[in-house]
Amino acid sequence: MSSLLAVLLGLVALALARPAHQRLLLRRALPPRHGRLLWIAGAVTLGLALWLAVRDDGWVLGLLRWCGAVSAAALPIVFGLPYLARGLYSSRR
Amino acid sequence: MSAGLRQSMAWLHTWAGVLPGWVLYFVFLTGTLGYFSVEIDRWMQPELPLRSRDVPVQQLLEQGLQRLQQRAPDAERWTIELPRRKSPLPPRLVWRGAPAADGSREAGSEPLPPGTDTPRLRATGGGQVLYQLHYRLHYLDTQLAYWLIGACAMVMLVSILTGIVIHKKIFTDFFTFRPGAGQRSWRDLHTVLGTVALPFHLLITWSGLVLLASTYQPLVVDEVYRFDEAVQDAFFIDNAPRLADQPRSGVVGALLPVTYWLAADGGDAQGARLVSFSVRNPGDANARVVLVRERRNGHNGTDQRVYGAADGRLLDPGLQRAPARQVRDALVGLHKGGFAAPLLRGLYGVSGVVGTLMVAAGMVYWAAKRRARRATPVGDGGGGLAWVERANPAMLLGPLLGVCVYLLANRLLPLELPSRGAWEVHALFTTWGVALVGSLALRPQRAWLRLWQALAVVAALVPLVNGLTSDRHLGITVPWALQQGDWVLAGIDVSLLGVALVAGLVARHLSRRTA
Repeated sequence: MSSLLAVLLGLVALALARPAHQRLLLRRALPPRHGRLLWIAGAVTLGLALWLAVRDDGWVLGLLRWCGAVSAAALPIVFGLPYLARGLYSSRR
Repeated sequence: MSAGLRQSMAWLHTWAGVLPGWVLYFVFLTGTLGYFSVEIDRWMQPELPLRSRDVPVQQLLEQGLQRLQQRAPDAERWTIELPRRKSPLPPRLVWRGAPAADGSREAGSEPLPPGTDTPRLRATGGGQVLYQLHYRLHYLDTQLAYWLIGACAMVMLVSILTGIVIHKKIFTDFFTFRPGAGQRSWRDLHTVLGTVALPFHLLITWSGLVLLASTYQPLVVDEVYRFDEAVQDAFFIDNAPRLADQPRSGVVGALLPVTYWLAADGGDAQGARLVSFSVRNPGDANARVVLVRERRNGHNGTDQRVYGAADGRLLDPGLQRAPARQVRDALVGLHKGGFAAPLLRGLYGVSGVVGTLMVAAGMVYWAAKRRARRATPVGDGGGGLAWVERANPAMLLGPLLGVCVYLLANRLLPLELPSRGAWEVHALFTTWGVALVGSLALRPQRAWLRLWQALAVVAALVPLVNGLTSDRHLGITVPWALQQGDWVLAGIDVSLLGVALVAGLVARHLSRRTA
């Protein structure tokens, strides 16, 4: 579960590193430096998740579990982002 | 990369994906259900006890051998089946080739420990039939089905690889989904679902091809084993050593004690688990003991070792296979996921659902993109596009509807009905057929609406009918799950209610849009 959580956090950071998503959620783009920091934080967290999975299950099963976790964690982010943004701004209006 | 190459790949991706798309969708759907076949088996036999008593393996084996000695002393084979990690089935004794009063040989089984009440289980296709549908299809010759599935899998592999080539910003667009944007939303959906589970799609397609490689590449077997059919049997014997099948010597022989076999198995110490203990030719000097172990970290589920029963000599270590065979077994194991603990199997399931939806979104996108270029309304104009638009609702929702009816049939068909399991499958395909006729007759928007409504109703009916016809309903299984952490039975009913809810929401959305 810890690696699944780390994958989720990593993907959230990677998603927020994109200016399109920053504009969607914050209505403005973050400075490029912040975007790069988010990208690095996301990549490092995903790497940490892979290390956790491999430590627990070995290379083959760990890698398999990590790939599965990326698929499972990406779904709520991909499909949640646009609706979250709509919800945020429709409730503020 | 040149635009010309990308365009060529896009053409190949489109047409390679569309032609076998409906078959691939069915394969992904039933293959995904196959990851939960044991759980579905259990749901479809509500007579099974919620849980069998926990008895140590040594005690089970000693009691089992004692009972087999009394019940079938002259049988050709005894087997004691122990619980697997995934399987909830209670331990069982099985014997084959026991001399009957009329001179024939008979087989039999009974639960273990001896004296346990034997539930009379209903005949059912269970989850195994759903699992087999993804590579054997149904109503077709097995070899023809293998060839058909193999061709579709090859096309799928081509579609995945060309999809990677044509997708210029595969990582940049990893999170891009724009809802409410017409055909662009369908493209986003198809792309996102293809990307988030890309390693799974590649693994499952490639390993699926390897799984039945000897069917698609018979010339390889011919080259090594020649074209003589009798000699080709050697191929199958080489692939499934039969050291255990030796003739009786006629000389009385002893069987080493259970403690010896447990020590020889060394199971738990290596993370493996003994799941089957067999004795071939029991009581004979030529007796063999076959230990089947389920691996914890292995990728091909089980391995088997064969020993001399009297002297404990290891005759077939099971694991010493040629490297090519080991690679194949590893790929097959990864495809089936039989080794996976519940969390990893859940992730396999999620990835399978993603693959199923990816194919479905691709089929809808293909039609939406072409319709946008034409002036005629959806479903009109004749030609291939209109046919695809009219058939899509039934080809994509029909199998789901059929699976729900398959589960309903399990509860509603008379228990004494001959070939009951086969009738469950007929119910699945009849439902799909009716859905197809209705879908072709209606305008596509109306067909989508009606089928989503039907799915919502039928999926909600399954737990309801289960409650009315068995004592494994949510009123019992949820408290059991909360007490014991065993969510298998409750999980299936709750999942169906979830499907009903989603289908109902989609139907409401479509109903408002078409009103």
